[in-house]
Amino acid sequence: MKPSLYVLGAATLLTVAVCARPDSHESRYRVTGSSTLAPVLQLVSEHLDGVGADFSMDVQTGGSSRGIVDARSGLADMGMSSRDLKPEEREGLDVRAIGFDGIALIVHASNPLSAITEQQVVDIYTGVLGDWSHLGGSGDITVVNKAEGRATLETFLAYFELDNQQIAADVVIGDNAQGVRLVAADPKAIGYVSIGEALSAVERGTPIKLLALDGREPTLQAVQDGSYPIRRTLYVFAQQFDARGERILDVLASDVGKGIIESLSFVPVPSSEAR
Amino acid sequence: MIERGTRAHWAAVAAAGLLGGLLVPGVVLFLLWESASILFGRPSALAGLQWYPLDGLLGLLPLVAGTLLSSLLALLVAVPLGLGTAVALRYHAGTAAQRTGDTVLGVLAGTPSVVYGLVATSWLLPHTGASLASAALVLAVMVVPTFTLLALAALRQLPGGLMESGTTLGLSRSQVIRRLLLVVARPRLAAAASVALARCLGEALAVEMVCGNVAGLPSRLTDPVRTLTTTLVQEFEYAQGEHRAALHLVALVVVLFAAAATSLALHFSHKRLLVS
Amino acid sequence: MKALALLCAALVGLAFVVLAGDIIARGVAALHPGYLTEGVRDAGRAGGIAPVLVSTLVVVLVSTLISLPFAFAGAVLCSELLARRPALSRVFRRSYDVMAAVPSVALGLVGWTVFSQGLGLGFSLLSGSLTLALMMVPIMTVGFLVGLDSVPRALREECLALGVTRWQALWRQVVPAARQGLLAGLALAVGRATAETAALVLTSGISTRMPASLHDPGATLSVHLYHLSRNVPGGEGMAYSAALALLAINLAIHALLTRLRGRRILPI
Repeated sequence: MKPSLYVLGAATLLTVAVCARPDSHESRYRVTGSSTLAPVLQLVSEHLDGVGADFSMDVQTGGSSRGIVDARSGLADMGMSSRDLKPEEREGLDVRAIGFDGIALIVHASNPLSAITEQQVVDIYTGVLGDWSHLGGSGDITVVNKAEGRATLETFLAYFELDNQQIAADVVIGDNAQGVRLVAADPKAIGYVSIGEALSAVERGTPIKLLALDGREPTLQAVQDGSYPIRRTLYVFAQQFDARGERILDVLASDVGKGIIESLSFVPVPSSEAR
Repeated sequence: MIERGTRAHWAAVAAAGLLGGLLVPGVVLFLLWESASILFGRPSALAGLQWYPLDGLLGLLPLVAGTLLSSLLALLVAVPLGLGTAVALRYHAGTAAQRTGDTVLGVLAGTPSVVYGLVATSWLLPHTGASLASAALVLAVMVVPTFTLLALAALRQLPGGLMESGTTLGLSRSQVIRRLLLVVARPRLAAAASVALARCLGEALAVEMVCGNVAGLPSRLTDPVRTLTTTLVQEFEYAQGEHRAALHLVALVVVLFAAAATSLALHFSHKRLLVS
Repeated sequence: MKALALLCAALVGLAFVVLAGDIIARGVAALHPGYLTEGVRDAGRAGGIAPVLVSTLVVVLVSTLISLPFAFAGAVLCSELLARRPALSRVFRRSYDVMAAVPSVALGLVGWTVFSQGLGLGFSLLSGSLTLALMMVPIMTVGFLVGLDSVPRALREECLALGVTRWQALWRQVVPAARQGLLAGLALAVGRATAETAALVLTSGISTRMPASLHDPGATLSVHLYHLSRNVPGGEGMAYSAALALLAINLAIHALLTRLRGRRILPI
């Protein structure tokens, strides 16, 4: 009779476990979307837990597009996006910009190059320039591009007025951390990643360096005042921000929020009403 | 025949067992359903040689090539390596070594892909770059434990008297292993290789970190490749509309490949052992 | 020949040493006494992994509990009920084998649509467990079948001849005789479950708060590792620590299961 006892026991245990839904579950504020922004909201969540807020946040990833879809359908209370929302996506949503993320070109620390021109970038990425010898180094250039659908790729392509099919890539990466890892492992590589990720990596001693573009240094200050040209805007949005949502927005606009955003090497937006 | 008093028990078992059998058709149907818009809308696009989903170019061929090339190359490395290891553990090692070997292999088999990918990035990339070679090597290392464990099981299940018969006839241990035991175990070993192939075909995260991910037909081992699974991993979160449908189809193709590999395994394991 | 075999074994051993060595070397740096008991802080870059361990334990336990009866039923179906119908049995066996080879990414897609959205479970440990069960049932079934098949037909015939019902014969004779294979199937499935990442990112999520019920989301150790190494700037160090924890857990599980299987590893 052992098997039926097991089945009965397991079934009871599972039913009880499944039905146990503490009240706190209902008041969870669900946030989904960009994995770039997820750490920011996770830190906000930790802060709110620390000050004893009366609700808790549940942050998940899934990508910018998913965040938009979930926010529109109500599956999530708030969405995060690291790319611009299309006009049809903005309908019915209250969109707030919470920060900027610059995109910098990076090379291995041993690369003699420290500055690059826009034309050189275009030439390298379209395969016209295949060798480091014209730029002070030696060997074939390993061109690192981003996977389709990523906001970083779209921003890059838009800025340099290129089409993805024109790019002669040697490696295609998914997320920024991987881009950093790849360039750090290959002295002949060049890639582009979120400045936030790159600066954090440099701080930790990862052997990469950021290149100045047409004389403009990729610093956080430059991203904020606009002197560094390539940047993308980071957004959060909701159908409507209720009391909990407003609380989160307040945190993001406060000194604590700015500190969080800066700790991840993004740049806070001067005013949280920006669209 | 089933005795009267236990009919209900067996019926319950049969019902529960049937559910498990419905999983594959269920998954296949689901994937077909989700890929309907491209499968029935623009199926010819799938036969293209370029994968630029945002421009509507959804050719699966380079992805299929990447998957097949990396998996087969990986097997080329993993099967001999695993076979040698299995032979070493089974015939040339004591109990303690065998138990250590079992544990080591088990731990290796239970390590997540991400970890393999991270370690490979530090140790392989600087030498072989983000390429087909790196992808094949990572896959080989990941699949060796599975293959070795299965090969070990195959060797352990051989009839006990074979080794003795061989040595009694005057053959050395090495000769018996090579000419008799491995030959007799061949069907099960081929089955093990097919299972390893299935695992290679389905592997995603580790490969994604070292293969280069450029969709195209590689001409050298040092060229980058992209496989069906790495495409899924890289693009799934961000795909919409037709792109998303195409990705479900990519998943379906992977499932079909896995099905083919396992059918191969079953085909081999049904061949009776040459010696009964 | 012997030298070649030993060389192969040495190479595989080397791979293990490099892997384990790298994990240990980089993972130890972030360890501190409270690592296993503290909560997660700074998006995973500080603090401990207590909630993650709990999530992992819950997900693996629940998915195993759910999978066991179905997997066992499937194996019994093929080896006992369909013993006289080899063609049909082969169809089912093929189905299980194929399902066991389905890549986890595909199962994550299925799990998200069917459990998280379809059943309205959203990101939750339950959704993750159900998705994992999809993966574990076939693997367990295949393993269980190996065990049940290895029991000689003669045993069942003898039982029937003695007047024992098939049901009793199954539980009192066949299952104990198949114990090794059954445990191996269980070990294989649990091993895969703890290593699973892709399917769980989409269903049980990346949340690192201590879960209070099955409906809460919770990152398992593999998912936490994945998120730290890919999305959290500066998270790689802690990712290695998580990898170290996972390595330790794997070792413990294997040691335990090797013990349970008894000392039947000697050459026959």
